[in-house]
Amino acid sequence: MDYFADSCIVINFLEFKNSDEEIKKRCYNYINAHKSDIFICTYVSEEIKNYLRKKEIMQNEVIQKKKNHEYIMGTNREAEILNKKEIFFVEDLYKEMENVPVLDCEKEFEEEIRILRLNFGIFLKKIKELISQQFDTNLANLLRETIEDYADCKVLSIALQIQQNKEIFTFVTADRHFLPNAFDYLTKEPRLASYKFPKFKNLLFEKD
Amino acid sequence: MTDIIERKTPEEIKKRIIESLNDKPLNAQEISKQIGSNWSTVREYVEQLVREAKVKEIIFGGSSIYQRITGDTYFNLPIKENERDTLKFIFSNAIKEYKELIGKPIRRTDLAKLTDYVNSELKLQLPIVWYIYGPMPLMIIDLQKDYSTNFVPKNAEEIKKNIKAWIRDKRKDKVREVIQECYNNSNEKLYKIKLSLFDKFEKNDYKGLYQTAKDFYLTYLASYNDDSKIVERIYEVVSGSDYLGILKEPKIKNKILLTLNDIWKYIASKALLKSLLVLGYEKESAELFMSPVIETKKYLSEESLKEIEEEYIERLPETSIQIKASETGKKVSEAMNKWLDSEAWRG
Repeated sequence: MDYFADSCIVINFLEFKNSDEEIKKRCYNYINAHKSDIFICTYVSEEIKNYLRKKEIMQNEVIQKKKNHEYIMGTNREAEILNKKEIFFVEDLYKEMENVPVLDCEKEFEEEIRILRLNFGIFLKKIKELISQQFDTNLANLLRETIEDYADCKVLSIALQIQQNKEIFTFVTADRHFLPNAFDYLTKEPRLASYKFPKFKNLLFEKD
Repeated sequence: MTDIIERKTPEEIKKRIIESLNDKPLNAQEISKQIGSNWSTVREYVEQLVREAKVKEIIFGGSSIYQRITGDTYFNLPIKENERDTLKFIFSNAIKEYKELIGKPIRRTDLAKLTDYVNSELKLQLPIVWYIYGPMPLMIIDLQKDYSTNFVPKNAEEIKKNIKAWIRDKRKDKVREVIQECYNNSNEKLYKIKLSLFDKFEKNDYKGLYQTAKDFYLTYLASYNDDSKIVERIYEVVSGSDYLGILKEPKIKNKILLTLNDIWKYIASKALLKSLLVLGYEKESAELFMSPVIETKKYLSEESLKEIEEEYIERLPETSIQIKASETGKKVSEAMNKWLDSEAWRG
């Protein structure tokens, strides 16, 4: 069987560092076990790239602040892609790194982001397919009545669209917005009756 | 309107059509409005001017617009007659003065940088734009051409003094040094970093390459945050190739250099557009002139990128690289996990 992976599961896979973080470990093992049967869509790929881009800029903001205490984080032009909420996370990261010497900090960030980008390249090389499919706005809006997060609705819409021309695959995620009962509910939604649904797996709610 | 047409000779109409296109490209209806001739007359003479290679037809948004072919400016961008005359005055005096003082002909780069220097020192507000090698006059420098002119600008003596000063104090033996000094005296950070990035590749000096590539990427983001994907893709290839130690392969190094070169031309065309806006060109007409250029350069960059990415992907390892778990790394993860879980990054 094939597996359609969403952004969260791939990011957790990339972020796994032999740590005790259960969900990352679960995603890492799952992707490694099914790698050659996994496919993603370009929307997911763009989301992951956006995640990496933002992460690098957040790290850069912390370095700027460490080098110049007068600097107000989030005011560099390149930081414009970060939203207000994310600036708070940058501040958290800065506090966490406050006592780490700037050179160590730079080294740590550099190593991490370079490997993350490399590993995403390796991931793309090893998976079955990268499908270019635009989401259907009407379908995504319909899904939004059940699933709160619009980005999730777009991804699920793409998965449903792809499913119509493919053998049944598993839509696999690690996203807290994709509740199994919400997915079940969608499969019974009369307005979606003509849709062939994929199987569903959310690693957040799975037990090993 | 008919009465007016009857009084004009074909040559007069053509002259007025060309004059109407001095500032920006127009469609036949707009030309007709400007010169007070009817649409069909304008169409007839515009078509003649196209055949005579004095006007160029561009299909824009499904309809035809007409652009004057200046023949002496980059991308046929319009410049004012007094600007053209002043540039000719500077060129002819600089060519003559350089030959007299140095004993050999001036180089194109020297003439471009000298003109920029005179322009900045005397605040002449000449049409000087940033392009591939930094500031340059919009009027194309062709050293085979005769720039002698009878035109004498009001600050002619000052201009001549500054030409001499540049030759005496700023001239360098190597073109690269002329360019470097010019970048260093400007606020154009991206140009300085680009020079250093190319330097590293040309000298096989990969120490600090990652940091330079990253500076280039972040500075680009800060300068042109509308479309960063092309620069991000080459940054990723440079960073990954450096990490994997594959830059020593001539094929990889040469393809990266070629791609960087194409991407730089794309960025430089955007820099040129930015300069035009600073010079006071109308946004709409500046975009009309520059958009096809930018699109072509972007397409060529993407083609080169595809080639190097193919080589790069082929060399990626089969399995992921393990990120070493460290105490600092743990702290980073703790802070960043909250961000990851919040899904704020999806916005």
